[in-house]
This record gives sequence, C-alpha cells and structure tokens, in this order.
Amino acid sequence: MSKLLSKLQFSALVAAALCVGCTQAPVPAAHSEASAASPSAVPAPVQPAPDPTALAGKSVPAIAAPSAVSGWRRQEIAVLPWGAGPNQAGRVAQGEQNLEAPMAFDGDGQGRVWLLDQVNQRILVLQVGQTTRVIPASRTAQDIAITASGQPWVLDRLVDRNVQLLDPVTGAVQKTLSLTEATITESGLSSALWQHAGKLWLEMENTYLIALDDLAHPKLMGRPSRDGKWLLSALRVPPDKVAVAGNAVGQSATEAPKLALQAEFPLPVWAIAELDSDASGRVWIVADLVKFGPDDRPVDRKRQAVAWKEDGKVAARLDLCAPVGAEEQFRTARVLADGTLLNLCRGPQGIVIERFAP
Amino acid sequence: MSNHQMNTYQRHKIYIYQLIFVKLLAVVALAVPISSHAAPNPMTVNQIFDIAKTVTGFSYWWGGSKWKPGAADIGKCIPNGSSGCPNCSHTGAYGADCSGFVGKAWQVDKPMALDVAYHPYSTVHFTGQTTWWTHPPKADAQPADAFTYNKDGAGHIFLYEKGNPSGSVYAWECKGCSYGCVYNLRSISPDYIVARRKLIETPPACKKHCEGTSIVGEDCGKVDCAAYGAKCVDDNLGVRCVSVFCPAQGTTTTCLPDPKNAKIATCVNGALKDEANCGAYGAICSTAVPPKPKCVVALCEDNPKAAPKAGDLCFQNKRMTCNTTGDIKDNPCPASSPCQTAAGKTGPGSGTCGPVACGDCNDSNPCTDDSCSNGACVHKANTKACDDSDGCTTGDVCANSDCNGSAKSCDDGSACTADACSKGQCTHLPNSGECDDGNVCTTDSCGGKGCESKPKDGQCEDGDGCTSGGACKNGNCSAAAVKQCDDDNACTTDSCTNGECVYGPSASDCDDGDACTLGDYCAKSLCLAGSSNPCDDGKACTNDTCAVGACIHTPDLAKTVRACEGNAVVESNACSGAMISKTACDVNKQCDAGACKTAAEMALKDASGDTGGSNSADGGGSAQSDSSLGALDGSAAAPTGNVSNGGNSASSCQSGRSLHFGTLWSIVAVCGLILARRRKFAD
Repeated sequence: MSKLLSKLQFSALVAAALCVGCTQAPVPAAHSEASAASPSAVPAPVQPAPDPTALAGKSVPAIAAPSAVSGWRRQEIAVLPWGAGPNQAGRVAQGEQNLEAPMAFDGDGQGRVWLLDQVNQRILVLQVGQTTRVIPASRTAQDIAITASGQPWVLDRLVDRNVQLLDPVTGAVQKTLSLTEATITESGLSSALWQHAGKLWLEMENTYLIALDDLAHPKLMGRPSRDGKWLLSALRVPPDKVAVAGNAVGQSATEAPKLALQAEFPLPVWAIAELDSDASGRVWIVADLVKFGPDDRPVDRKRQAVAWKEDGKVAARLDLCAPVGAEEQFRTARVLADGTLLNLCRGPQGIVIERFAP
Repeated sequence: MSNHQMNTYQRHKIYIYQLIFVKLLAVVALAVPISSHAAPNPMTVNQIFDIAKTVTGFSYWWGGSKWKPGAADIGKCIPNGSSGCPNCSHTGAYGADCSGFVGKAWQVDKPMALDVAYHPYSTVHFTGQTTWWTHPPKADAQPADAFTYNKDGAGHIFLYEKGNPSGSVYAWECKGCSYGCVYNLRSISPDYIVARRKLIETPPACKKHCEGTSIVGEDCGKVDCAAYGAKCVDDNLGVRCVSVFCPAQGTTTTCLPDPKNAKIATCVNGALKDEANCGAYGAICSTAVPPKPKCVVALCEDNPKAAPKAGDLCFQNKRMTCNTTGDIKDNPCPASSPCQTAAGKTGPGSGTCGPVACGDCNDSNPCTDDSCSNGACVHKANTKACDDSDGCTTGDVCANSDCNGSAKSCDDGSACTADACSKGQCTHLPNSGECDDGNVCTTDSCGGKGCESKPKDGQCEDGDGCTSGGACKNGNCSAAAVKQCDDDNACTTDSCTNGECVYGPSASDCDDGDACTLGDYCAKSLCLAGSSNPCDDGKACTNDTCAVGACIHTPDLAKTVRACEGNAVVESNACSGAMISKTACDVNKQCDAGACKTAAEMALKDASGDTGGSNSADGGGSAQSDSSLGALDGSAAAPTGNVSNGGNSASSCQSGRSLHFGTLWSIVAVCGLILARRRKFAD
C-alpha cells in the first residue's frame, strides 16, 4: 500500500468528528507526514485499535470524485418487491413503529446471496434472477454471516440475544451462542457478525470484536483485514470524507496507525455502511452520502464504495444504488474475499441486490 | 375467496381504517391544542434518560404508554402476520409504542406517572408540531433529543443518546411488536428529523454537594454549615445544612445545650424550629424521660416511674409525685402519713408526707439510742463503751442507760501499806497492819521491805486429817504419823482421805478358809468360795470325798477297773490288780477303753477326737461325747452326764455338792456371781 503512515504525533491529531449527533470536536493542526513502514506478519488475537481520528486533516491523496474507476462490472442479483412471496422481501412501514426491510445479507463462495428477510422470518438464498432456497429464521435476527462452508450464522441481538448457526438447507438450529456472557454487557450495542481466523466474532459499537466461539473470548480492536495484516477502523470526517486507519497486527497500542487512508466524497457522508477488505489486500469503504436541503430533508443521496489497493492507490470507486426510505439497516453492503462487492439497495417498491466485480 | 385471501383483505381493511384514523388524529392534533392548561416541567437530560432506561424490556404496545419499573408483568405483543402492528394484539398491563414512550420520557405535555396510560402525541405530532419541542438540524442533535419520522402513515420515533463515528446512533426505542422496547446501536435514515424537547434545563456549573461541613452550591459558592452549628448532609431531601442536634430527616424534639438544661426545640428534617425555654416553667429539658425529649420537672427526671416514698414533698396535704412522663402529679398524702409542715405539725402548709415529727430527741446520753416513733422520742438503752469520767474506774460500759466502770486496782501486794485510789491515782500509805503469810511455821512482821517472815519451831497442824503429830521445822509443818485404816479384809482396798478411812472393793484372790473349795475370789468386798475340791488322792482303790472343810479318803476293796486286752475286756480289782474276768468282744465290736464298741461308736469316738483314757467303769464314752459338744458350743451349760470324778464349778453349783456354808440364800447369790464372773473371763 502506498500511503503507510508511521510515527505520527497522534496526540495532536483529533478529528473534527462531527458524526450525527456527536458533539463537534476541535480540529488541531496536522503534524508531519510519516514514512511508510512494513506491517508485521504475525497476527495476534488482541490488537490495539487504529485511531482513525489521527488521520483527520492529513494530506492524503484525494479521490477524484465522483467518477468511478473503470473496469468493474455491475450485475443485478435480484429485484424483490415488497411482500412475502418467494421472490419478495418483507417490509414493515406503517405508523408508530420502527420501519423495517431486510437488514442484512451476505454472499458465499458459490456466487449465492443469502438475504435475511427477517420480516418474513426467513432467509432467501438468491442466485442471479431467482430464489433458490428459503429457510426459516428468527423474526428479530438482524445480521447474517455465511461460513466458508456455506452455513449461515444469524445474529439476534435484541430479543433472543444469541447467535445461531443454521442448517443451510432446513434452517434447523445447529448451534447457539448466547450473548449474555459477562464479556458482552449489552448485546444491543453489537454492530456486526464477523468471521476471521476460523472464529466467529461479534463487533461491538463499531469498535472492537469479541470471539464468540472461543471460551477465552479474545478481542480484536478493529476489523481484521483478510490478508491478516491490519486491524481496520474508519470514521467520518465531516463533511465529506472518510478516514480509514490500520494498525499492523502486533502493533503497540501507543503507536500510530501504519495504514492511513482517506476518501473524499461528492456529498456529505451520512454513514459508513461497510469497512472490509478482500483477499487481494484491497481495503473497501462504503459510505452513504446525503445532501440536505434547508429544511433538513434529504435532497440528494448516494452510496459510494472506494477500494484501495495494497499500495494505497485507489482500486475502485463505485456508485452504488443508494437506499431510500426510513427503514433501519444493519449490513447492506458486503465485500467478499474474491473482491466482489455486494450492495443491498432499498427502494420505494422493494429491494435490489447488485454485485460489482472487477 | 380463500381464507388467506380473506384475512389479507380484512387486514388491509383494518389497516386502511386505522390509517385514516391516524391521519384524522394528525389533522385534529395539528389543529387543536391538546390542552390549554397542561405544561411540562423543566427537565434535565439525565432526568429524561433516567426514565428512558426503565422502559428496556417492556413490550411494544400499539397505542400504549405505561410501564412500571421493576414490574414482573412486561406485557407481550403478538404479531398477526408480518406487517407489524396494528395487525397485532397485546396482553399484559404494561407496554408502549414508540411515541408513547418518547412522550412519557419527555413528560409532555405534563408530568405523568410512568404506570399511567397517557399518550397525547404520536409521530405525527412529534414530526409535524412544535408544541413542546423544536426541530433543530440533525447535525446539531443533542442527547435526549428524539429522531422522528412520519410519512404516508408510517412513523417512528426514538430517543437519541449519542452517535458514533460510523453514523450509527445509541437509542432507546419501543421498536416494534417483535422487538419490544430496547436500548441499541442502530442505523438512522436521513429521512428522520430531530425533535428537541423544550424546557431542557442546562446542568448547573456545579452540582450542589457537600464538602466537609460546607455546602457547595450550583453557583460553586461555598457556605459552611458549621458556622451555624450544623453539618452538611446530602440525602434524598437534597443538600442542606442539618443541625448537629437533629437527625437529618423526620420531626423530633431535642434538648439544646444550655447551662440550665432548659432549652428545647423541634427538629424538622434537620432544621431547628420552635425553640423554647423549659426553665420558664421551672423545668429542664430531659432526654431521660420517654417517649422523647421534653420539659420535665427536675426532681422527676432521674426516675419518673419511682413509686412515691416517705419524704415526698407535699403541699396543702397533697403529695407531689412524678408521673410516668416526668410531670408532677398531686396526690393526697396517705392517712397514715399526713402532710407534715416543717414545724412538725399536720395540716395546711408545705412539708413532707410522713409520720409526726418529734423534734430533737437527743438526750445527750451516750448510753441511749435516740429515735422518734410516732411523734414520741424513744431512748433505748445500749451497751456501748462509754466514759464515766471517773479515773478510778476502768472498762466503762453502758448498762441500764448508765455508764459505769470497775474500780481501778491499786493493790501493791504489801500488807504494810494502805492502798487507795484518788482522782484516778493510786496511793500506798504505810500502815501498822498485820503480816500473815499463812504459814504456821513462820513468824510475820512489817519490816523495811514490807512483810517479813521468819521460821519458828513448835507443834503444828498440817491440815491433813490423815496425819497427826505435826511439828514445824525450817518453816515447814511435817506430820509425825499416818492414820491406820487396815480392816483386815482381803477383799477391800484401804486408804485415808481427808482424815477418813475409805474401804473400796478389791478384785484380788482370797481364801474363804474352807478346804473343800478351791479358787476363792472377792466380790463386793466379800471372799466367796471357788470350785469344789475333788480331793483325788490318786489311788484307785479309795473313794475320795470332802466333808466339813476336810478331804476324806475311804478304802474300797471291791472297786474294779476295766481295760482291754486284745479284743477282750478284762475286769480287775482296783486295789490288788487281780483279774476278775475277761470277756471277748463280739466279732462286730472292738474293745476300746475297757468296753466293747460297735463300729458306729468307734466312728463317733474318732470324730470327737477323743483319745480315750477314761477309766470310768460305767458309760464314760457317752459322758465324753456330751462334754465335747458343750465345749464346741462355747456356752457355760453344765454337763448332764453322771460324772463322779472331775466335775467343774458350775456343775458343782447345780449339784450343790460344793456348798460349805450350807445356807440356801447363799447358794443362789454365789452361783449367780460365779456364772457372771466366768462369762466375763470368757469374753
């Protein structure tokens, strides 16, 4: 990767992290550029969290927005109108309750997409143009992660407070991991299911991961990259940037992140929809971009993905279908190991699942 | 139409009706104020959060707005299909929908208990109105704001705690029928807008609190409670100064420090109120008298429950005693103990209840114990040591109410002085008195050293009646002869005592002068006969007898003796020894001691240990057998056999053959004495 920062004076680098509802923080002056450093090679179960705020204001290559990097092919996997039929997706959108639609999905190595259609208490296994399988799932599941062998883990963080491994054909529960262990004080604050190094992890507050299927419950202070080099974290840099930081595996918590990436977007960043990497070492960020009118109502919205190559250069900038509506979402963009990007797009009539591949 | 289709149709119908209803509600709500009088109270962010936290776990209830923290009944929402509420039902007492929850957390439009249903606003109001809230930009969202959305009949609202760098937010919300009310990190659509409650109080610069004895106020100023005799207390009643004499909470009475212990006050939640002076009523503030500190008559403080006792104060014949609350209570003095004035008179006036006073009963006599009894002085004699003021007496002691001593001894032991005591001093004046040392063998006279004695000669009487013919020699009187008292009776002991002869019994042996008795002995100063004398001369051909005090041996030529020779009995002449006959014993008998005996007789003989030796010619065997049995018995019973030669004294008594005085009365007396004496010896 091209822009590896090291030995930054992080104590002075605090982002103007004006996230939604956050108290605005002052933006101190940037310090000197850091030279590149080689990451460590050996992964460790617990790593210091990269501090994306340290990247705020840094002079990193601006991404030429909004033009997309050429060479990527978009494919629609499914278009599912609202409903409960085999080629539909459930939605709740009527008065005095949370608006819901499929919150999460994931892809497997076979080209299939597993859509968590929790409103209809099911998972749809989709291939291009068709639903190939339907298996039952919890009404209150909110995330799904497919194992390398093609089995779904589903997260129910608010009601049953567990993670269950389902039979990929029948949906029968094969394993249940409780989220009421002392290491998880509030399962409602979990933010993602994650698979890494043969373990199932639960991300808490978009910050750290706890291994669920390891009695020692090791922690990772960031999302591990698939090439095993980084523990990644990201933050919005208002109004229109996202910074990504990577701590090298084995790096001391007191050291500055050795990976520092920043993307600028054509619209203000509303939320970070995904942060991940692929097996080739590309780091991906997916951001929801919203421009508000004078009445604080959205007047323009986009979803863009940016991928950096291992050398830090931008490998892709993709305009994705931007979700609309007030439905809650959990994981609506996924990066697969092979570098494929999946996007779950919510529209007024239903959802569209699109795939981007180089 | 299938059931499924009908159900779907019906649900759609219900939904349409409800949608219309909601829209109508929205129109009405936008047009008509909920209440012209209701108004919310100012709240802090933390107060809102404190309410919000309590909803977690309760069920979603379409149109609901009540919950009770800690209640076991959290309610349950049951969906009917996948469209969510209102196509749902609810059971249980508690639950809330999203707007019911936020309205209650915000306490709009007025304060309302959580467990009371009150649902004045929906997302239509929160999104479209600004009644008790404003709509700041989302970028300016603050904790305790709400994110609200309502469009085309779909609406939701949740309470915002904070955001995170990814764009997610921490929120409390009554999310939906399946989820219930939760606290979670969630995404937020840009279609939501922010609603901010009006009347949010800004937390003060300083939180009011205690620092030692001082109160630190919200303006960060400090006031020392100690300056007011108080301490700082921070409890559920707030931060405040509390008197050191008061508990922090509650209403009590307390005694205040006072030299006269007379100040009393009331504590109300730590503050002193209604200070008063018990002393104005002649009382003190006491903590000793239950139920609480109060003004108490001093004399009643120590033991207000003490029973009335003699000496209690009285006035106008009323007895003043303490009741259980420490107050004086007037009671009449008992009839037996009328109220007595100080002058010792009964009747009106102040005094004490009790017996009639005697005045001064001291008679100044140390030999009396003075007291008052029923108005009369009593002087009881005692036996105490005292002083009679006479130096010529000693050991003064009280007796019969007088003090008397014994005359002091001034005797100097000299007959040549006149000893006397005067004014406590002994005097010894010379006199011409006679000296007498009581010795008839001295001549006594007063000399220079008092009485002097010189030996003199001449007859004297030594005062012993058992002597006679005394004479003085070297100042001593010596007797010349001793009085003779021998009565010539061997059975008396002879002596002289105080000039008189005394003859006592003697237990020695004696001789009664009768040759026909042997072993004579003394009894009661008499010499009594012993056993009869057998007079055996050792000759077989004589008959031995005793008569008139002499042994007589008469020759008997016809006397024979029997002896064994082989198994035959040989009879011979006792004097000449010539054999008279020889008779062989039967074959089943054996010759023994001059007689033929059966085996049984022999066995009896062997058993008795008798070795024979009898020379009796007429049944000596049986005689030996009887005698032996009597010895074994150990008694003094007399043998019954016809023993002619060798009987003992007892048999002699019984036979009467040993008598030599020949008088009947002597027989009885003497035999009794003999038996008694033998028994004594046997013991």
